[in-house]
Parts: sequence; C-alpha cells; structure tokens
Amino acid sequence: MLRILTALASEARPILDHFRLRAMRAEHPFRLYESSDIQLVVSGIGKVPAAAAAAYLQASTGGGRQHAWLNVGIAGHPSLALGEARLANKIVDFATGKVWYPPPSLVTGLERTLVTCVDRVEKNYAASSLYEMETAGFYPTVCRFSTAELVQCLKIVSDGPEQAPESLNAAAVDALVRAQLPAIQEVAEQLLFLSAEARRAEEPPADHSRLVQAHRFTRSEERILRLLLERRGALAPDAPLPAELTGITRGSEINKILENWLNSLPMALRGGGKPA
Amino acid sequence: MIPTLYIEEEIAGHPRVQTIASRLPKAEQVACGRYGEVFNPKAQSFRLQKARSALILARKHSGFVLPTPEGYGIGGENNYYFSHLLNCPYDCRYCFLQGMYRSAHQVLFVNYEDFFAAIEAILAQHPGEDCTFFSGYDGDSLAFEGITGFAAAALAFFRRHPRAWLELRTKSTHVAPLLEVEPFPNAVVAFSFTPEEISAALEHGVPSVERRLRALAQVAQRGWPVGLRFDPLIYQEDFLHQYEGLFRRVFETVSPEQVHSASLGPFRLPTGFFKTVRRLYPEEPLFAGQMEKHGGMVSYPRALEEEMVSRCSEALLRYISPEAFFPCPLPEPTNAS
Repeated sequence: MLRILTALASEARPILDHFRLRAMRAEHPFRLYESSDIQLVVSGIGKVPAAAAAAYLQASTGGGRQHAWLNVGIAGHPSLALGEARLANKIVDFATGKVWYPPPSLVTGLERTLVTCVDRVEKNYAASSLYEMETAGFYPTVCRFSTAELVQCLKIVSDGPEQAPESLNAAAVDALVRAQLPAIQEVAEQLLFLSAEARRAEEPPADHSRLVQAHRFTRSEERILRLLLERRGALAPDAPLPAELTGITRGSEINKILENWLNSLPMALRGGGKPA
Repeated sequence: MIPTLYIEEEIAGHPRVQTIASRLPKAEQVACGRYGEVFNPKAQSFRLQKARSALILARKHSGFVLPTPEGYGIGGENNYYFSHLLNCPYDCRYCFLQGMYRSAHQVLFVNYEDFFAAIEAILAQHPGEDCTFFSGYDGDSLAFEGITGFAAAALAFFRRHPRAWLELRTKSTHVAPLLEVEPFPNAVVAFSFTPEEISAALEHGVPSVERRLRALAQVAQRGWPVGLRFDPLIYQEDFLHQYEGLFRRVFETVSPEQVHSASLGPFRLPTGFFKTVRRLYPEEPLFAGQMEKHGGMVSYPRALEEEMVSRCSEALLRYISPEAFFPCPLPEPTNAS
C-alpha cells in the first residue's frame, strides 16, 4: 500500500485522476481517496495539518510498518526552474532546527536536494533549498508508522525570485503537478515495490492463521507458533505439517510437536548449500 | 555503487574528505551534523537499506582503541581493536553487524591520526611489550581501501612501531596497497573464508573464494605474513568434506610457512542480535535450524558445535603447527532453550 499526502486539493487532483482514486465513502475530517493499492489524504497547508492528516489516515485505515508514504507538493526555490521536481534528501524544520534525512532508497531520474520546512510562506529564498510547509510534520509523524526507506517527499518548484507565490492559483498548481505525473508514477511504483518487499518479511507464515483460529493458543504460544512456522518456511516450505498434530488442540502441545519435528530436519542452506 | 555521501559539517574541509569525495564523483553529497543523525534513527530497515547503503564521513571523538573480548587473539598478550569503519559493504547473512546496527550505511571516521595517537598511548602503557591491534572488527579492513586509503596510512604507521602488531582482516581482493610497499613482519593480512558452497549461499556481494585465494597468494608472495580465518564455521551435513576441500585449496595456494596464524570458531550471535537478524530474514535457513543459547550467545547445539570445532581443527592441523592455531573459545554452557 502507498499512502500519498498533499496539502492542497489542486495538488491532489492530477494524482486522483492519474491513479483513478475514488473518495472514501464515510465522513472524515480530511478528504480521503483510495484505490486497491493507493490511498491519498488532503491535509491543508502547514506541518501541523500534515502531521494530523497522516496520523488520521494511519489510524483510520491501520496497517503495519510496511506501508509506503509519499508527500507530493509544490515548493519555492531560489534558482531551480519552475516545474522541476526533486526528492528530499534532507529536511530542516526552520522553526526548531530539527533535521531528518530520507534515505536514498529509490533509483529514479529525480535528483535529491535539501528541503526547508517553514511556518510562513518564504519569499526570500535565502539558502539553496526548496521551501515548503508540510515535510517537517509529515516525515517524523509517518516514520512512527513506517520505516524511513518507505517514506519520501517529492516537491515541484512553483515559485522563486522571479515568480511570487501569490501569483499561483489552483489551475497553475494542477498544471505543475500534472506535468510531473511520470515522475510521480515512477516514485510510486518503486515505493509500492519496496512496500511489497517489506510486507513479505512481516506476513504471517503459512498455516499460522488457520492454526490460531482452530486451536487454543495464548498470546505467548501464538508468538512461538509464528517463529516455528517461519522456521518451517525456511527449512521445508513444501513439507506438510507432521501427522502427529491430528487431534491435538492445545497450543503448547502443537508447538512442542512442531519444534521436535523442525529440530529433526536437516540444516541445508539455500542457493548454494549442498542439500542434505 | 555508493549513491550518497553524508559528510559531517565539522569535517567538510578535511583534506581526506575532499579526496574521498573526488573518488565518488557520482555520489550525491549531503551535509549532516553528527553522523548519528543519519545512522541512529529508530525507523530504519537494515534489510531495505542494504540494497542502497550510503557512506557517512565522520569524525570520531573518543573510544579510539578498545580491549578485545576475552579469548580474542592470535598469540599476543595485549589485544586491542579499533573501528575506523562501522559496517561493511558486503552482505554476509551470518554477520553480527546486521543485528548490532539499525542502519546499513557505512560510517568512516576520517581522523585516522587520532586512532594512531591512541595506539601510541596504548603502547606507552605496555613498555617493552608487544601489543596486537585488530582493525576488521566492525567492518572489512580492505573492502573500501580504494576509497578510504586507510590501510595504506595504517601500514605506514605500523611500520614505524615494531612493537605494535596490526591485523587487517578482509574478504576483499583490494590488496594493491600491500603489493606496492615493502612488507614488514608486524602486519598480518588475514583473509576470511568459508567453503565455496556456503559462501555462495550466505556471503552476498563478496568476491568468490577463488578470487580471494588469488589475492591471498599475491600478498603471501609479496612477503606479508598472512592469516587464515575460518570463522564462522557453518554447519552442513557434509561440513567436514566442505571444510577439508577448502583447507586443501588454501594450502595449494600458500605454504604453511607463509601463514602467521589460523583461527576458526563456530557460528554464534549474541541472543539479541540473533532475534533481530532472524526477524530481518525469516526465510533464511541458517537461522531456522536447531539452535541453543550458551552464555548469552545463540549457537548450534553444544555437541554439534564441539564436533565441528574438533573435526575442522583436526583437518586444519594437518597443514599448520599448533603454535600457529588459535581456535575461538566456546562460551560456557548455560540452560539450553
């Protein structure tokens, strides 16, 4: 799953069209959209609304640390051409001085650069940085729900010394984002791929849910069962569970039988290790 | 390929930083405060990050040289290690670094001279005695040599301090700095090996055993004392056959007289590291076999561990003298679980 956050409806519109996202039906304090593998929230301007919207989306739709997150929005820059897109490699909260470093986990045609998150619209463009208003709320909040490799911020230059931010309107913002849809698509695809990689490592192993639903396991026994079934997945993924489990209903006994069976299996490495 | 070079602002003007940056012209450069800002955050996945790990250039402020754990050594009385590099570009599935660090980025401390000053201070604490300094504890000693030039600087330093023994431990084939200078006796170049079958399954991104053997031969022929490290021993049903084959190949490459020291030790990880690594790679058979806890370590069952150490030691001692053999001690047994 990829979760996208934009501050403005005009930033969201091209993305909604491109990925064919539909509005979620229930009443929500933020505008939420979704497809089978992408969700989008429109937060409003500023780091506090961005943090709140990300937290709301996480809380209302749930999920583990394997979901990817992407903040897409416009930004000012002292020298980059209007319409250029960049990923953030460093985020500075101008008000507090706090700093974050989104990892270089993607291979895209986009360059990465410094992003400074400000509380008021920046018109001086003092440093060679993108200036915007959401990342310092979005990034640290989302890193509580997901791992940093799955969290990225993509900014599109909308204003600068030659183009005052006041001159922007919804149509102009829509056009800027729409022109960068190929880049957004590329980033989204890679984040979805990494998210799927992360999910594979977190998914319950085969037969876990079936056994837990059918038999009596305490929380502790359930955790042990998961480890045992992961061992089975690594050592003998195609082997059926031992026949001695038939008729056994207590979690502790099931775990004991599984452990004894696993300890009897030969230890062979994969992809190079000579099978026993 | 290193995609990103993080540089602590404090050392941006350091000549070594300039040199390293010039050797990585395609890497994006990102200024950072202290390296921990990048290296230590909680929300990181070692597994995801390993695919595109970065290099962080930093300055180390304290703790340059530390005593080695009990039993760690190659014959000397006074054993120390230093870590100018944290993490490793290779991706060996048995490596404890995966469990120790949250980040897969590599950290290079560029103030080499401070490490050397700390080594001189240690030598002063042991007047008239030899001291051994291990450099490949938290990362491969030579894998980044083409970028860092650390080994070249260390060799120049240790050449001037004959009481200070240096062990460079590596799986790399970057041996050029060793071939370009005159050898001296107190620097041991130790190559780590597992049998080819095990290496292919577990040592991702590492030069093949044959390429490492060629590097070993070059270094030995140049006249450097070489070390052989068979640590960790990895179990397979035909482990003895695999290790006997490896030892045969090694001693077809170097003569026993060229070997300063050989060591071996069974696979083991601190319990917490083992749990972390197993969570990272639940599909890895290495972590799925029967394991036991011994003295805060997770390892193979005691009897199997003893059999592996005993039989591999016996096989290795067919080639080298007991005086050159340093098996890693097994931890005292505790309650198995």
